[in-house]
Amino acid sequence: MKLLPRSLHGLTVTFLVLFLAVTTIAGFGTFHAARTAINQLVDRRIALESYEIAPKDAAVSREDLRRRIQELTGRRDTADLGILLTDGQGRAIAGNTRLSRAIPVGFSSLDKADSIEGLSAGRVFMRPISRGMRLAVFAETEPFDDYVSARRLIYIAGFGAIILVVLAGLLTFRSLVGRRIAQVRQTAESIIEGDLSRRVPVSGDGGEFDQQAAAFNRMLDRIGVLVGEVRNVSNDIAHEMRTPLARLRNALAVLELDAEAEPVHARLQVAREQADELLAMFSAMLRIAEIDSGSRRSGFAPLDVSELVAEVVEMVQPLADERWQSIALARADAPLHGDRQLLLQLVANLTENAVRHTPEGTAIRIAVARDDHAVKLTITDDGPGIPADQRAVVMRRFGRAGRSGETAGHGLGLPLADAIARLHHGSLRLENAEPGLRIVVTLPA
Amino acid sequence: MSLDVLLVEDDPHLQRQLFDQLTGFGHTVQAAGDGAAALALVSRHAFDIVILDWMLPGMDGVEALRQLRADGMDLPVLMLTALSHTFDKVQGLETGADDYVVKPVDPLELNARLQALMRARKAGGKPANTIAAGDIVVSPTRVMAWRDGQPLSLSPTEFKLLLELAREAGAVLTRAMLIERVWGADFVTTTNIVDAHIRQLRLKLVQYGDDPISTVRGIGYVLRA
Repeated sequence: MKLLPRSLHGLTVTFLVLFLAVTTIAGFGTFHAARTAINQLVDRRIALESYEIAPKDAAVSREDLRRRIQELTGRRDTADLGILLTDGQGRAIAGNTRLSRAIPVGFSSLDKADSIEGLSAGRVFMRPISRGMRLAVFAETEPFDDYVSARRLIYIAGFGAIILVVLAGLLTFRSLVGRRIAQVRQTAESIIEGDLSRRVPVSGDGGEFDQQAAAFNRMLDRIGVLVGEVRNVSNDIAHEMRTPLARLRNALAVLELDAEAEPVHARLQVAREQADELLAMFSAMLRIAEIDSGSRRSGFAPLDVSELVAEVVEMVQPLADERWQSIALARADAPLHGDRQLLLQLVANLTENAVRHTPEGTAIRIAVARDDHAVKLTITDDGPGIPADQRAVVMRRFGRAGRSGETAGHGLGLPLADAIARLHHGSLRLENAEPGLRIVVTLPA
Repeated sequence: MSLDVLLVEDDPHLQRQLFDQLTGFGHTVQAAGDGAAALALVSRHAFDIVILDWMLPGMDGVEALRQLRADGMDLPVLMLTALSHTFDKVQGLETGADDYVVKPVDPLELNARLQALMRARKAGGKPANTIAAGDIVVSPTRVMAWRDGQPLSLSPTEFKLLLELAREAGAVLTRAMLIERVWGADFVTTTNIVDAHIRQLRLKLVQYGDDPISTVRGIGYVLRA
């Protein structure tokens, strides 16, 4: 069993509960202890006075008692004492006060209900003395009237202030820590989504969080450099390979036209087509690099995604017809600021994929919707879909999932579409359409 | 159609290759390695067409083109661009280039485009109300087409394809040229979309006669003139 919660929230709540409990117990404890101590002191004093008036084992006459009581109540240091001597019938014989109720023998407490003038809390010592007479001596336990309620107020105010300060401090601490942790988390999420340029904000106070953020950022810088190097190397290769490959391809194409090559014509054609595929792959790589550079953002213009989608459906329809596939389109006005040509490419890539990578007879549904923030394009098929563990693979460059047993395509269609979505600050997601695949493209309007 | 071509390319290897290929297609070719040499050649000889590389040492291709146009030379110019950078293309076309081909150059594609440019130049560029190719008539303004007097019911894409083929009836249009004219310059397709639409178009055309479109293997399509 976990005794301590690990979350910031749990720790805060646990600490607060413990703190409140300890503070309350400490408050009540000191309050109670102080009262007990005071009561003991007062009890000792009234007992002393009581025995002074009527010593324990000596018989004192009524007159003597009355005289002593008068003497005591007149004296300055004992004038705050209340003394009452009653006879067997409870009538007052001497004293400076009256009691409204019968006081039991021994020590007991007095309070406001006893209606003794000038007394809000006190202790009384009642003892029987000779011939049925009873002597009650009492004193206040408070330095001033209503001290207990005043003390309660002082306690509440004092401890309340402490609790408030601690609570405020704790909540501030919690939100500070929480915010810094959230910044790190948001940065990590942006990076997961492909924005390698994001960094954790550094506040500049040089504290532990700043040091951690700086270390995190240095790590990201390093990763960024490494990723950039890898990407540049592959782009450079693509760039450098294109020209010699094109020469080879062109040599084959010209040979294909040569009458003497007629007997090997079919084989030449296969070779030329393979060269074409390689060239297309390199072109797509360089195109992704161009899109990733963001240079095309300056060419953004207003457009309607819905019109692009309609255009693509018309474009792809004959291919779908040949494969007995149906394409259903649900469109709503979806104005957007973007690159028309690239978005047409994005929609076409995804639709071509849906047609090409699903079996004959598949139903394909394309929907364009928009809300206040974004245009949402979904392309759903009821084909075999892509297993969850393969979805990340197909989003990688050259990552092909074994869809319907074919390996056609250069494995750059989805990464290209993804790059186009990212250029528009949007995202591309693969989902399970149960059955089939659903591709969701979200483009912020 | 055999042409008198000026080839401006600084890479000696590519210059040699293009020279051989263009000569192989029956053209007369003169080559220059930089913009200044090209301008000097143009002022001395009446070329049919100029193939101009974008990246040249010293004066770049766009600058050479600007000077050419400033000197009042209006002969067709086809630019060679290194990468499919949209802005290069846009800038090139704005400067007065008539077409462009992205390197690495496919000689068949290049030749088809040279021919198309010359045809366009000869036609004078005036938009026709109706275009006729054999028994096929296309009206771009009315967005309608007929074969043998019978109206054809075409999809927008089929219509655009037929219009482009009819405009240059008798000449080969490459798949890249057709994609570019129907869907825009930068479009890359991984499927044989053009072929699929041409198949549909053929089905509709043969309702009223034989198949007027022929496939040129490895290159593209021709509509019978």
